[in-house]
Amino acid sequence: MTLTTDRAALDDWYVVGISADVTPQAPRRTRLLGQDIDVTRGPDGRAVVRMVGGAGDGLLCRSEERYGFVWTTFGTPGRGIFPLDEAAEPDRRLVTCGMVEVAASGLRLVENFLDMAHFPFVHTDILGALDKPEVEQYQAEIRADVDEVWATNCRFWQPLAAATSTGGQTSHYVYRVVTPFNVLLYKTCPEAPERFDAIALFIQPVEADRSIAYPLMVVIDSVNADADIVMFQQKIFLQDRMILENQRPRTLPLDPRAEIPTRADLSSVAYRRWLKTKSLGYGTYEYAGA
Amino acid sequence: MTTDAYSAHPVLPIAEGWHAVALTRDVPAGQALPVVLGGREIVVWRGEGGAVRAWVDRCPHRGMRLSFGFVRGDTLSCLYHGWRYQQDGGCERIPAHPDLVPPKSITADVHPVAEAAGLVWLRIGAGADGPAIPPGDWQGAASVTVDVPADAVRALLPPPAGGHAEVQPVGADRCRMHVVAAAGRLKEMAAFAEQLRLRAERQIPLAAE
Repeated sequence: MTLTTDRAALDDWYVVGISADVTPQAPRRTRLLGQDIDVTRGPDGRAVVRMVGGAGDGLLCRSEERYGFVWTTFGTPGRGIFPLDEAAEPDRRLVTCGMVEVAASGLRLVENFLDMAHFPFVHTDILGALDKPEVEQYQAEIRADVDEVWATNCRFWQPLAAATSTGGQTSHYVYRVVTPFNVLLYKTCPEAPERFDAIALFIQPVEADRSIAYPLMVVIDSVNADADIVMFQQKIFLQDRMILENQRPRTLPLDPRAEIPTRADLSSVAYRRWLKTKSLGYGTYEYAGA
Repeated sequence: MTTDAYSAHPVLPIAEGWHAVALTRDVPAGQALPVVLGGREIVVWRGEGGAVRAWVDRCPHRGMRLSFGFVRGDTLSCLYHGWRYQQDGGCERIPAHPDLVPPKSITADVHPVAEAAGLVWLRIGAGADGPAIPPGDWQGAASVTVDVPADAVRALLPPPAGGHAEVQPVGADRCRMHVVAAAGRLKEMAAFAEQLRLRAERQIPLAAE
């Protein structure tokens, strides 16, 4: 594997590890955009990311720690790591939910995260019910001022919306794609219905069709232990992984003729259009159809 | 075909015409079976009414493999979003929009299919109306995966009298051999299939030689 030359992919920030797991005693060897890297800590306690092998062997990469993760970039991002204001609210808990390797493009993971229509079939009796599969009209747009994709006014009936749920609820969702490989949602908090829980999915694109996903919960939850919140999130994500590894192609086709959307896929359509405007090639499928 | 290239395996050139891909008895009513033919991922499924179908193993909506889906009556539904396909490949229901009649343009990628001599066949490209097979009252005896190229297995055929074999190329170095038997020769032909596999993979001579 060698480092990609895709400019749009290089000029962005990516999660490459969980802060709490990175210690000088346990350096993490992993891969980002085809480039092997070591993630460790220096004597001053700061995270250090260094390239291993290839033309950049030994090079130090810019790194930061934010939201419980180590972030790095190989290029020159147009902006810093995106803001996540909820992370600073004092009564919120930030729960990192481990990491899951998935043999699929990270872009497929983002689309799956944006998708409500699969809840009844993939997360049956948890995030959806087979007898309530309808996706009501919602809005999706590319917000040019912040360069993000938003889907708003999303509603879905859920038998067990979160680890704190005691029964079904109509969850209200807002989705926010902040970079091509990082996505957030805000959904009705069962414990404080006037506020929203935030759930993030940060993706480390290992290769064009291989990813590591890091879910992060930023929730109001006075009941559950961290372990229970992690278990809930991991159960959901493992159900998704079975789908993600069996989509063909494993990369994401951007050509509108390659896959057929419906109204429920408005957010996916906006996301694919946005990726095209960025000229992002990494993790996409070069459509060669008629 | 366009969607063949989406396969997770390298797609190999393959002869036009009919290819056996499963024993009839390995595709019972109400079930979907994934098969690979020259790198092409294909779902073979049988409706509860008994008719068998062979499609590109991919839902046209978001690319999910249809072999993970579920058969209800004479329809196959995708596991991801429940899109339901009828036997001609046309999509008849999109659960996210229960009141929508899906446009005719939404259809699975369909292969011509036939059942003959205890085998399920599909046609790639142009060809005759049905597969050419030696006359006889054949029953499926065994399907075995052999980790050598299809031609290496074909070189060891045909089976003894009372048997017939078809070889399905899977990948460059893997194939699947389907052996059918005349009445009263089932056990003999099943044993032949296993012996041939050992011989092809490990160069062990057939016991009869």
